Amino acid sequence: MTGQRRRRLWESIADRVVTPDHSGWAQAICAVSVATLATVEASALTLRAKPRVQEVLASSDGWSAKLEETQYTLGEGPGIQAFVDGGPVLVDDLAAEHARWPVFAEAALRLDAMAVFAFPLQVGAIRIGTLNLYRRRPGRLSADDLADSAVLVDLATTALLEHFDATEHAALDWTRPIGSYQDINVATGMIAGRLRISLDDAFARLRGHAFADDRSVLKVARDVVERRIGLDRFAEP
Amino acid sequence: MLGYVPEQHDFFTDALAEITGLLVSGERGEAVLQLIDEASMRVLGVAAVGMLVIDPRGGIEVVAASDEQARFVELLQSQVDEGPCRDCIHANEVINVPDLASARNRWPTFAPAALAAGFRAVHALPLRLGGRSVGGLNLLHTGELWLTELQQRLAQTFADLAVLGLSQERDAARRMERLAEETLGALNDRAMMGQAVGLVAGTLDIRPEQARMMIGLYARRNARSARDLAQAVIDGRLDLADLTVAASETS
Repeated sequence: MTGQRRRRLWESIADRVVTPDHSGWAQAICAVSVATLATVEASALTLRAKPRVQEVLASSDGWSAKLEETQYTLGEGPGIQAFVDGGPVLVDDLAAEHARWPVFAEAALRLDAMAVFAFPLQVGAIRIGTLNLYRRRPGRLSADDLADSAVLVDLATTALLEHFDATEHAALDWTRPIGSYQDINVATGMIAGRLRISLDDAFARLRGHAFADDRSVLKVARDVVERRIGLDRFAEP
Repeated sequence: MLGYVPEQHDFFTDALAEITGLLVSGERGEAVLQLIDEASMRVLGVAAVGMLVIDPRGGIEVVAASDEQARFVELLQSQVDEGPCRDCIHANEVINVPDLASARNRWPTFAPAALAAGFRAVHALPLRLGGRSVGGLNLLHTGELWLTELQQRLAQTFADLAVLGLSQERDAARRMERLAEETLGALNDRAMMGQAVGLVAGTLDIRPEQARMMIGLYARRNARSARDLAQAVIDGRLDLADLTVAASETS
């Protein structure tokens, strides 16, 4: 049951990729989320460094881009909360949950947004950004859409972590949820601990090393965990 | 046959009160599961307990285990997609295996591995939400396991409480959603634990397995949840020397 949902979503993303870079993948993920999720009208994928630093990597239309900008400008909203708390924030009726983000709710309702479903893109303590889904009518995300969203978030995270182009997209191991990439987490921690740098920096170096050697991050991480690559190899950024 | 467990009812009342207290105070996820693990062991007298939940993204994930051996047995079921808990989740019914030695044909990979890990018996109960199976609670025992009817009912109560712990939401219609949120959160907690384990291993120049053991030991000794401890390690709020001290005191 894992494989089918993942495969279906992954293939429809791969079909839509126009430019094989992060922004191209993000654009495809937004397009697929709108085409696939029956209860969703628009979506946006945003990279965040801190709650107040963000870059809208892709949006399905101008409306969702505007809603993302609104959260950024106001410094509050479900997307920012999902990023800060590290868990999904599912708001099926913004008017009813007005008190949680009074200023954003006001602005969003003026833009006709009634429901927002925000998911963090993250691996453990490393937060990358958010995938936000919007609709103009209140209502819950269906169970099926929720499962699809969770997979899309996972695929988006994987796509942003690994590097690959359209010709080698088959190389991405879409069968494994990001949560199973435990070796990457352990390796990132080992590098951070040894070199006394942050997890974000440690992960950037792990990824840089993998890219430079044209290998997958997961394989390099395994070598680190099993000490086939010494931790001091990552001393130079 | 399970040995006589003295004052089983008292244990049960205490455990129930503690778990309910946590649930009422709004405590979420892992702390509740941990307590349910411990309570199941204490009340039912089994050797170890593990819990699996259906990952909303597909597949089955381990969310709690009373020790490393139990974690191994649970991981095995999620990875080889075979075993009593996996079957219990899919069939949405209790699966009782009093003696794994006679179940080698049914689970050719799982049974020998679980036996080798020191477990003889498994009692698997579904975690049910709105009648649907969302996961499973595994009672593991080193000898043959025959639960009385009362014990089976107590076990089911623990399973029900685990579902409540995973989905703190009174509105029944929203529970499934809340559960998905909690499950995804719990899965990310595991990634965070991996990073904490790496941090300890890299800083102290030890193997990740050793680091994981030290963190687990420290968490138990100081009655702190693993999630809380992982966060403290990552934020630099925990002096890693304390971990070393805890580990050396035991050995």
